[in-house]
Amino acid sequence: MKLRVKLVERAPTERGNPLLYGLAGLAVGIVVSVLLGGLTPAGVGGTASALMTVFGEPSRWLSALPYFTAIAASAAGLALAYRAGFITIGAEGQMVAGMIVAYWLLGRVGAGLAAGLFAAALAGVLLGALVAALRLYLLVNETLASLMLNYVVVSVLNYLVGGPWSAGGFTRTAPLPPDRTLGVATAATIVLATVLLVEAAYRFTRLGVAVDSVGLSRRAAETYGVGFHKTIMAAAAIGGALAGLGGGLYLVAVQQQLTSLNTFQSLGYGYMGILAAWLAGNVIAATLASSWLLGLLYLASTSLQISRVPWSFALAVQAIIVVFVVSAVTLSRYRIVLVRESQ
Amino acid sequence: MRQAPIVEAECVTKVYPGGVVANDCVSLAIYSGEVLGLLGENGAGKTTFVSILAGVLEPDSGVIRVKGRPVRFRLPRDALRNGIALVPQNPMLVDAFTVAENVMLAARLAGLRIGLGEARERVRELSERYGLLVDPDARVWGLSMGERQRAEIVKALAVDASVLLLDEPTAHLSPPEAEALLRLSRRLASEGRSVVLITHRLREVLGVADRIAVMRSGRLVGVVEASEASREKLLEMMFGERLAKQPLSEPRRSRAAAGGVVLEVKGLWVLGDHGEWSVKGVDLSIRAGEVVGIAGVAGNGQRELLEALVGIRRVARGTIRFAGIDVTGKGPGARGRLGMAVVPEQRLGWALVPSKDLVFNVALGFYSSPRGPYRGVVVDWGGARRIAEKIVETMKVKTPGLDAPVEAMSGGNMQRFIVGREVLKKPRLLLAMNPTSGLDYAAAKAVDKILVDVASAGAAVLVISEDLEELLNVADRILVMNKGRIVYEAERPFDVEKIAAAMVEEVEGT
Repeated sequence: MKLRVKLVERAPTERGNPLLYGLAGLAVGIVVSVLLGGLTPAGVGGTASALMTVFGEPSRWLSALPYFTAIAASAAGLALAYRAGFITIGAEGQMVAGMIVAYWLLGRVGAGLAAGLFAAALAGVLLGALVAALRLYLLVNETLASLMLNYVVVSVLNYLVGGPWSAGGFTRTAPLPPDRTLGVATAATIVLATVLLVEAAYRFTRLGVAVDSVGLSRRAAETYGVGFHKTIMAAAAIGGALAGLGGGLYLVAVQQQLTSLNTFQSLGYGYMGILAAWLAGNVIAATLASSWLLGLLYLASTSLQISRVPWSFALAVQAIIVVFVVSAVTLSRYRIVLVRESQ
Repeated sequence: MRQAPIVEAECVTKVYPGGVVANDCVSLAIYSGEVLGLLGENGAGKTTFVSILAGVLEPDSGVIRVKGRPVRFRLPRDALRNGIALVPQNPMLVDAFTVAENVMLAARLAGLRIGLGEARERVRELSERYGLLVDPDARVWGLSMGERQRAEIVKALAVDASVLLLDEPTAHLSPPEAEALLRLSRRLASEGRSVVLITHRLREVLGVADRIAVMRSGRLVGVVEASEASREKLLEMMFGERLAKQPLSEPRRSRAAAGGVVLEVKGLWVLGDHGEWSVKGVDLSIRAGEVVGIAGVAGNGQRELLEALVGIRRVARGTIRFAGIDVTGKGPGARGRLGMAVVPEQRLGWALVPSKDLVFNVALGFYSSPRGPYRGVVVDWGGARRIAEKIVETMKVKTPGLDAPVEAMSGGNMQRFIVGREVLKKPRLLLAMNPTSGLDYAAAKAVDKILVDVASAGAAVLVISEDLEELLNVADRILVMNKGRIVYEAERPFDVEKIAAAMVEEVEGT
């Protein structure tokens, strides 16, 4: 007689609440990280204290707002595109393009905030639509095309901040005028509202039916009149608009000036958006939670480094917590059963 | 006195998530050198049972023995290594691979290390020996359903399986192809292999099987020697008391007074997947109230014709007029808005999004229908749910629930759902390809009746089917398609011999 652990998939109506499972995973991930922290100079106590500073004090949760603003804007758009089967990683470039265009209008032309943010979103739309057009009409792989465009946009930024827009010979621009900036809370609220609006459009309009059917069964979608080209173009454009807007908001609320970026790392929030979309299972509204979690993890890694924890371990803690959260959310769909086997 | 069974299932039970008991303590033995017919209506648990024997599913309890030894199959690979191969109802081949590459893959799973050259040789040799007409170098995505089915059989033979589980093998085949396959089953049995033949067609099991096992509602009702079985006895075992209450056959009405022309196709030329001409100058017209059938051996351009009519395949030459409007360059959306409904050849992925629930699949099916659950761009999910409820009720669809993924339903129930959905659109034109494929006798009759009723209500109906019997039942006119051309047209009363001959005769100028 042998005992075997087996995962049995639950019926859709019997599945656990993924949010509760995710929170449980977060708690376990923090405990495991603290225990492993005993291997570092900070020890278990130092690691626990550094993590609790971020996760244990609700007042510190708001410190993640700047990261949340940027990550959530890109993650929600990526989730929509991924649902349509359009695997872009262009949110990073679209964010940076949004920042460039917003800075140009707000800092150099003197346009109003609304115009600047609208133009930032439009820049994202154009980049998103360009990648979609390359895929639809020239069969260029959208993942590669969007990645390459990210590098192009960052190079344009670096040219501008090091050349025509350079302030005082540094690779940065002059700050935006104070009346062209926003508070972080306002920027985060705009992102929150926009993401919920996209979620509503996905849930209650034809967009959701089109996106899911194209992503899951293109053939069935086309047979019953869902336009493949139109749907991909819409998903890419909406994703671009969100990322571009996110870039504009990050500029006016957080950075308030443009600085040069490493071509390959860039700002990084557009890339973190990919992880946030994945963590959220491409559920648009759920990217708000996953983006916040990633924002907190970003804070936590900073807090850990201050507590004499090596940089590499700080990175490992992020990975450990993400793994536990993802595993717990996945587990919400299964039951663990013990099976007795006779040999 | 029989020898010991080669495969034996003892009290095999399988319960799906949601509590559907697909197999309830099923015990069945399979002997070498026999054709065992496995009968049962849709949802009886036949596919689940053979999937367990083939390692596709794990049973919740019960024992499988191969040559008397208990075995546990976790993967199809384990079954293949024990000489058991499944030829599934919906062929499971790698689309991007050639037939030979698929064979090589299966052989490796079965523990045989053969190269591509040897795989090609085996396909060619088996194809010739058994008359299966499979090109080893053809890519699977370009094959018709019938061709895929034959490729699956070649694959099973190529790995030298001693037990072949054929799940609805004739569902997508024309009568001559089906006959050939049944002869093949007998030949394989005479060579010492075991063949389990799952089918709804009583005539097939009565004609070819040595023994016949009947399942109903997940249970094995009984096993009878074919020599002692009769059509009536098997129907009673399959349907129980319901049989007496339900008329199973209804003669087709005489040709209805047809209305105006709904669909008119002139000189249609359509390219196939490989850039060859698949549809060659087809002319076709269907009037309101008329059922037109298109008969033909699988792979003679029927699929491409349907796709051109639906609007998902480009028309190279010719015109399609629907409801008086030239729709040749228009897509499926425009045609749907004009009142076109479609029952595609395959259920999953073509008619339904497998992982989505019934309500979503209603919203998709009605996406461009004027009767859809939409207010402008807004989806009326409550309306979609009511439509789904109505389909489930009127079509007697067995489902774990409206919110369960459609892939959780049996093939027959999926088909009932699709047909019900398309009929509820109250279409001006209904296009259906193999609409009763995989359905049991009663369900197939019910679908056939619905097609006739839709026509009687004033719609034009085009049925493309590889099941000639079905067309003989429902159609007012039958057109035979052979090598991309309409080679014969018949009206009632049909001359079946001429139709069958037109299906298989060599066509000049191809």
